[in-house]
Amino acid sequence: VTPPKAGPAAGTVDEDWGTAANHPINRDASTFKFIGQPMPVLEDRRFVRGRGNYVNDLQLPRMLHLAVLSSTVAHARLLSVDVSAAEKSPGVVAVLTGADLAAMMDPIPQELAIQAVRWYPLAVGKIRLAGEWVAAVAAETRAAAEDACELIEVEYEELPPVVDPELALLPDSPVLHEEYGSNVVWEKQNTWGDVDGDIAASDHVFEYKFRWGRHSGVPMETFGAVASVSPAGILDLWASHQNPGIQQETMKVLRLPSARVHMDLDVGGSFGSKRGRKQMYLAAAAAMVTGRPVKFIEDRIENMQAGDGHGPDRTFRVRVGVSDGGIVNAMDIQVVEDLGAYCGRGPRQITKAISAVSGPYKIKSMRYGGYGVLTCKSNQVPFRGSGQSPHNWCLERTMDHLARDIGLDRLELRRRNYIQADEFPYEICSGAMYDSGDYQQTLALAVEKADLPALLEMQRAARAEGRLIGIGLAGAVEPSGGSVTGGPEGARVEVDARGHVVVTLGFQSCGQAHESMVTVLVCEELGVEPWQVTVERGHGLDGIVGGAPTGSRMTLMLGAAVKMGTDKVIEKLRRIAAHNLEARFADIVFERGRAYVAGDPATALTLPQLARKAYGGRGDIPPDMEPGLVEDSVYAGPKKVVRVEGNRGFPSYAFDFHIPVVEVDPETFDIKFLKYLVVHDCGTVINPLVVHGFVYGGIAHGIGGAMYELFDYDDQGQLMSASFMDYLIPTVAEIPHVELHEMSTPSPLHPYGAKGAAEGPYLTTPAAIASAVEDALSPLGLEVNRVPITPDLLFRLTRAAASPTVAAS
Amino acid sequence: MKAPRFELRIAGSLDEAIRILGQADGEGKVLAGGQSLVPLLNFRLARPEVLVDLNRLTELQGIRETGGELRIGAMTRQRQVERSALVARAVPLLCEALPLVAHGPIRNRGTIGGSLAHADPSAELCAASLALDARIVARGPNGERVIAAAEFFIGPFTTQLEPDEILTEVIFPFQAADGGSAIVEFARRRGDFAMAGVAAVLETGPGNQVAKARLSYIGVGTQPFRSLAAEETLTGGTPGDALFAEAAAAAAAGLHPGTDMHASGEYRRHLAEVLTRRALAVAYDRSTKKGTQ
Repeated sequence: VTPPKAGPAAGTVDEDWGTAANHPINRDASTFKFIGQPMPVLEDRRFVRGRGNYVNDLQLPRMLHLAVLSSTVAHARLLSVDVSAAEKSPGVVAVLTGADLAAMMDPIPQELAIQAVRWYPLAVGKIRLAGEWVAAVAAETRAAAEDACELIEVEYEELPPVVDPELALLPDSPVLHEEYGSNVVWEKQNTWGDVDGDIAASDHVFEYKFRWGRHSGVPMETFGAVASVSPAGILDLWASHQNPGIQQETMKVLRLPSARVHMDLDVGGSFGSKRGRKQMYLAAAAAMVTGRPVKFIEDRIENMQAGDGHGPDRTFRVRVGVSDGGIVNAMDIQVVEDLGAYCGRGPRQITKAISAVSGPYKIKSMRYGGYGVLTCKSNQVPFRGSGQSPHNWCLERTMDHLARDIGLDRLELRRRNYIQADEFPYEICSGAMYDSGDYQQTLALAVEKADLPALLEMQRAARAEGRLIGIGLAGAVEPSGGSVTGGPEGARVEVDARGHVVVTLGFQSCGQAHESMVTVLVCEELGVEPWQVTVERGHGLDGIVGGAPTGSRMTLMLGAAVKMGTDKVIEKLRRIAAHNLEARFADIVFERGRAYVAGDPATALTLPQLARKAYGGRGDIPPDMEPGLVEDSVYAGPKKVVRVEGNRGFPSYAFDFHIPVVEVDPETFDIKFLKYLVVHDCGTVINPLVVHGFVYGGIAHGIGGAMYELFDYDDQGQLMSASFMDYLIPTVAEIPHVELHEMSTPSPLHPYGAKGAAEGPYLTTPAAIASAVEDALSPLGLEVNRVPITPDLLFRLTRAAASPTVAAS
Repeated sequence: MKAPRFELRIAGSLDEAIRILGQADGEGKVLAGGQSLVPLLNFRLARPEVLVDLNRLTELQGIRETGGELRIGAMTRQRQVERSALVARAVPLLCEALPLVAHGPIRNRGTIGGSLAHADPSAELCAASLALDARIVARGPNGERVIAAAEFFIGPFTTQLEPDEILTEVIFPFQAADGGSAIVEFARRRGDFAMAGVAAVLETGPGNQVAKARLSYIGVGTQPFRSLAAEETLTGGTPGDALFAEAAAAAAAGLHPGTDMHASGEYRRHLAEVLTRRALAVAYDRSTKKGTQ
């Protein structure tokens, strides 16, 4: 690996760029027996048979059920909450209000440590969004709890709702958190290079505005938690969450000496949005108050209105300078991000973009900044890419518009600005370091496989008949392996006396097939078969270090931790073999589950033989060896770390390129897919079935965000899409067949050369679809500047174009 | 999302069901397939004291052919009607409408009578019953009466049924020999409530004039309804693009659909006009191809 070549330095570099010697790629991919093979996903067996173990499956003796009363108004002072009638309702054990919680717990920690923005599971003193939880009832059944909720009398003093983030910015706007005094909680400018000078010196300068609609990863199982206090005073918590690190926070917030957060649960697809802190703390508080186990499962409306699970909601204003030759010199991106009612964890969705702020492009200087604003809406959560999808959408929209405005082919503009394959590792202007990639080749393969000339010919012929057909072109880099977003990752690798392997993980099953991934790696390294591997999950008090499945990190982080564990086990096995074969340690080879003296593979000790000795008598192992084969490992990520605005750079960057083809009905504005092609490069693929699942799922998710899904609020701050009747998730009927082709540029920084894959196609799809629809509408001269792209939007655009006096809103 | 407390009464006979409903004194609701009512209960938007379950009443199930008419028991599952060869032959519009109703698992439970009694302005079956000039049979303490579909729907989710009456059967006339029909709708996703839709029945008379036309609408009004203006425009006219466009414009002129997050009223009216043209063209095409299929 050569030192970085291009781009100005930025941020602070903590350590040297890692070298291949620090993190050798394990071995030639052609020697892999398990890695890269399509092994059926182990988790699927239980899921497709309906045998998953979700939080709502958990039943504890004497368990109570929680229901919450939701605010009917978006913004109000809470004058009184009278729970006396509810307390007398049949089956009710306790009723909690915000005042009760404020007396027994700390405010929930948020991304921005603003003291005056206090956040509790139940509203304290004020209502800041329609649907905010006002009181909670613990009763013998959920129905009894809901009955009692209807008896709670709440007196509101209504305040003007704060709905439009651009208005919320203004000094005369009503303020959600009066003690803080403003709705603006994030206001920053990051400038890399002489942006203004470079723009001024450019041959052409253009300005664009884009609007990304609020949607998210919406789970089938809403957020749920079961809490129980053990006789020893330890809080036991089971929840459909994805953050094992929550254990530390739970003890602090609830002022408890100890807590176990049990991870032997199936969360389902987490997508970053399974982080219901207030739900967990509310259930825990109810368990502490009643002395009985408490289950809280949000219903769909509670989840959608106030479950803190919404994704980015962003306006982009772009100023870009480009040369006559189509070289993008400088770009200034200003965002207004509508964070919802509390800081929550939303601001991270603005700043993550810094890790790939210029996407796959070489842009000399950039500015990225703006405002994070609080409004009367649900809190955000960093979901699938943590804001990278809207950011990439903005970059790719900008490139399409630029191509049109300077009269250059969309592909050619991309080719001229892409980072070249021989320029990696490449430091982009923000200081983030891209490890490897071949964007030109990925694009070329997509064009070849899609037979672009034939598509263009088909489009020409169809246009002559009045049909509207569009070809979308978009790519995205996927920053992956987040090493600080989830902390280090650990695993315990244990070989038992039979030579079977148990690996214990410090986090839940969240839909990314980690059990399958770990099994493949263990089989590859230790030479066992999949049936001999068991993957277990911890509970936080067992010493297993668990981060979280965020930032496409698990194959990188956990995969490396498992490799460290198997390496330690193998070293011990080699020492035992040396002892028994009366050979030097250095001469012992361990290969495919057998240890032998180099040059004499016939005289080998097998893994079961060695394992029996490891747990056997004194003479079976070297005198200075501790018996047993249990190894804990924690992987902290590659050495090179760039910090920019509190965000660390990512160790690897995957890439994909999409070519969808759509047809728009010129009368109904229905959008149909004629084709969807993707070329995907995430380095070494551990299990293609898992990666293909990520690709198909990511595209489906991207289609949702691009065309269907929207948390839409009216001007009173009421969520209009609070159930699956109005929040439209594309189903199998709306998803086209996806033609998938693979490339592989392995990461030089990972033991297996793997990169992240779980976010990727979602980062690209909305950009590709916007590109395709805009291309389809180009005979009408229409622009696509917002998602979701709905038939209603296209109708409005055509009407506005037909009568220029009516501006499209 | 748990229903408030209610009393569930499982009726063993139609007479018993009518008796229980009468005793509930206006606070009772009939449970058919439950595909609309149960969500309403769980959302606590409907709060009946008594639910009268008709699911054991085999006397309300089945598809019969009598004298050029199809009689479908109110508790016949939508899926059974959808798959009936008899229905496909005699009343093809009904078979074309049913796959547009939600999704398969919902149609496995949902009933013909339940959908009509619920009277959702977005329901395909309500529109189909209007376009097909169906007759609805209801029974109450004072006996049986037959109500024309055109008179049955009187407001949003409101029908001619009295609180103590039960819808027992729906009668569909066979499609005329020189008739054609079509139902076309536009929904965001397969199975969603449509943003707009239209059911069309055309009968041509001697000289290829339109003898009879019925057009009913989905999702663009406050109740299921027909466009009499469009039907009048069509009757006596010569079928073709010009006539269909004129009829569609006449229909659209009478529509004042509301706006929601998915579609503006203006867009819904535009869709209704486009879909009217398309439905009429298909219905006419089918009427001219009679006997060749």
